[in-house]
Amino acid sequence: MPTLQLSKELIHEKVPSPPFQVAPSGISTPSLPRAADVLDDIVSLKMTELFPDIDRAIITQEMDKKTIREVIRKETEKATAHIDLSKVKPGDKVHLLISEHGFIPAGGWAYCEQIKYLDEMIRERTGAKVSLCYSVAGSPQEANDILAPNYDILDHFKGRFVFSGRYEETVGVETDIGKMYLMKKPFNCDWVVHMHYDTPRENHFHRYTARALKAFGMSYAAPETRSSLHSSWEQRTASLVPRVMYESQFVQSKFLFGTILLTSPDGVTGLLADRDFIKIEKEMEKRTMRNFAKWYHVLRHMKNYMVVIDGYRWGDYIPAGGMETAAVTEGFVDMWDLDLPQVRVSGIRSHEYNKESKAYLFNNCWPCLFKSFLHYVPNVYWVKEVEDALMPMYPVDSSQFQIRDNIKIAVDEAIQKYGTDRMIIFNDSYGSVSVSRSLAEHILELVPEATKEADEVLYPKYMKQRNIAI
Amino acid sequence: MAKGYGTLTMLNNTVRVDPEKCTQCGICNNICTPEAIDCGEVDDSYCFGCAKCIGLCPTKAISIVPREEPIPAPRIPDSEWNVPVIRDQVFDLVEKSRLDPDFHMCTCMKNSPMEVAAAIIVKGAKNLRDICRLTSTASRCGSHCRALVARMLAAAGIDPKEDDSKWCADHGSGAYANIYALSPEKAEELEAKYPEYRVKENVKRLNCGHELNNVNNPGIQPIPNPRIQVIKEEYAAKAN
Repeated sequence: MPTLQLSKELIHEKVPSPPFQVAPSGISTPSLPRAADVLDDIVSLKMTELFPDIDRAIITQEMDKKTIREVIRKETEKATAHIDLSKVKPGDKVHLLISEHGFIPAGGWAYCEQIKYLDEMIRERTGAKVSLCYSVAGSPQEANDILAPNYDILDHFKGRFVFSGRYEETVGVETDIGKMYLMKKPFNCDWVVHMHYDTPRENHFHRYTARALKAFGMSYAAPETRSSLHSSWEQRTASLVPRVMYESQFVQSKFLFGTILLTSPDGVTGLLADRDFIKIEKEMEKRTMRNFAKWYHVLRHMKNYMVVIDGYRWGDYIPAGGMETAAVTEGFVDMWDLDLPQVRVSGIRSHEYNKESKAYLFNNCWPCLFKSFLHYVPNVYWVKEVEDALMPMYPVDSSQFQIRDNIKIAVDEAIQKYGTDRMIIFNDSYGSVSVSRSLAEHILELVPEATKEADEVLYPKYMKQRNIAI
Repeated sequence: MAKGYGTLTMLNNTVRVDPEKCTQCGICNNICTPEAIDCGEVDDSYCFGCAKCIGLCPTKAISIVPREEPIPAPRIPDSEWNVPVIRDQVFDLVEKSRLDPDFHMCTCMKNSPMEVAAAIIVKGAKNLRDICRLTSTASRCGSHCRALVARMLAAAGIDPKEDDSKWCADHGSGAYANIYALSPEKAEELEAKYPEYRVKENVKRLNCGHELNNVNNPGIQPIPNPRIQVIKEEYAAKAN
C-alpha cells in the first residue's frame, strides 16, 4: 500500500483545553492559565483527520451537559438491554463499583452519566438497593473530594454511596494462584457491577492484557495484593492477579455484570456490557488497540521535542489525543508488544526514559507526579505554583528542577537550552492534540508510515499475541 | 543509599489530633505503618505526614500541620552496611529474598533491597514497623513494597506470627502469591489456561532473582544470581 502524504491544511488553530479540575484535598496547583492558551504558535491536529478510520466520539467537548446526558443514557441503555437481572431480588444490595480514572475521558461526564443510568435501571428493574462504591488509590476522603466539587453524582445518589480507600478492612480470597486480598467494603453486598474503562494508561503494568480487570488487583484490592501485582510478577504475567481475582468463587458469586467505557483518540465512543466480562474484555482489546495503535506509534516515533504537562490527574496519566504521557516518556519501547519481557526501565542505577523527549515542563497538575513520574525524567521545569502547592506534601530535592514564574518563561528558556521548539501539550485532550507548529509538521510527516506499520504489522501482531482473531 | 529524581528527602509535616473530636476509635492506630499515632497522641519523630489517618478518621479529628523544624526522612546510609562481613550478609539476604539488587524496593522512597536488608541485619528490624521507621520504606503508598518486605522478612527467618505491625492483610509466610512460588506443574497449568500471560516463559526467565522492573538481566540465568556478585563487588570497590 503506498504511504499517503498529509497536507499542512490539516494544521488548525489552537483549541481550548478541557476545563481543569482542582485536585482532591487541595493538593494541586491552583487552576493556572492553560499552556495552550498562553504559549505562542500552538496549533491543533484533529485525530479523525490524522486517522480517518478510528471510531468516532459520541460526545464532544462542545456539547452541553444535557446533550451528553441524553447520548450516554441512550448508549448505556442499548448496551445493557440484554443483561439478565432475574437473580436480583427486591431489597438485595447492589454495589456499582467505580474507579477514579474513569473520570479522565471527556471530563468524566460520560462515566458519570453511565453510572447514574445504571443506578436507575437496576433499581427500576429489580427493586434492589443500589449504592455507588468508589474505590480510590488513596484515602476515602479523596473520593469525596474528587466527586463533590466536580460532578452532580453525589446529589443523584443522595447518601447511597460508599467510599473505599486502600488502608481499610480486607477480605481474603482463594484464587488459582494463592490467597489474595480484596477490600471488604466494595464487596460487602449481594451483587457487584464492575464499571471500568479501556483507557491506554499504565501500559507498563498490564501490557494491555486484562486491562479492564485491573481494578481487581488495584483499586478493589488490599495494599499487599496491589504490591504483589506491581512487584511480584513479571510485567506480562502480572495480569494474572486481577484475572484470577475476577474468576475466584468469591467474586463470581457476587458478579452481576460488568461494563467497559470505550474510547478512541477522538473521545468516548460507546460502551460494552455483559455478564461474561472476559468476552467484552477481549472485544475491548480488539477495538481499543486498533483505535489507538497508530497514534501511539506516532508518539513513539517523534524526534527531538519537549513535553508540557498541563492537566488534572497525576503527571503520567494525562492524555493528549487520548494517549497518556507515559507513551512518550517510555516511548523507547513498545509497551504493547508481548514479545518484550520488560518495558519500564527503572532501578537504582538506571532511570531510562525516551531520549527524544528533551525536557518536561509542568504547568497544571495533580499530586503523585513526584513519585511516579519525576523518578526518571530529567530536564524538568515547573512553574512556581507547582513548588508552592505540592512541595509541602511531597518534599523532594528540588535542586535538580528549574522553577520559573510561569510556563511561558519556562518554555522560552527550554527552547533556547535544548534547541528545539517542537512541543506537545498533555492537557486531557481527546479529539485533537495541542502542539507547536513545528511538531505538527513533524507529526504529519510521521503519520503515513506509522499508520502503515500499525495497520500491517503491529496491530495484527498484538492480536495474535493475545489470541484474538481479527 | 539509593538516589533518584524526586526522592522524598525531608519530612515537612506531621499531624495533630483535635481532642474534642477524637472518639478514641483506634482506626488511625490500625493504619499507621510506622505507628506514629495512638489514640490522639502523635509521636512526631515517626510521622511521615502521609495523611492516611486524616483520610480515614470518621470524625475528621486529624489535620496535617507543618513541623516547626523539618526532619530528614530516615534512611540507612551505605556506610553502615557496606563493610566486610556485613556486606556479604546483606547481599546474601537480598539473594535469598529473590530481589534484584538493582531494583527500587520501595518506589516512593527508592530504597534499595540492600538498605532494607541492612535494617534487618544491622539494626535488628523484625517487622514492617521497624523497617518503615528505619528506612522510610512503606511510609507512603505501600502499593509496591509491602509484598517485598514480607518476602524479605520471611527470607530472614522472622516468624510472621511474631510480627504485630500494621499489615492490611494476613502476610502469612511472607511470600504472598508471587511468580517464584509457582511450581512447574502450576506454571504449566496456567500457561495452558492463559497463554497470553507467558507464564512458563517468565518463570524460566525469572528463575535467577528479581528482575521484574529491570532490564539489566535480560537473559535466563542460573541460581545463584550472578548479578549479586557483580554488584557486591561494585559496592566493595566503592567502600575502598
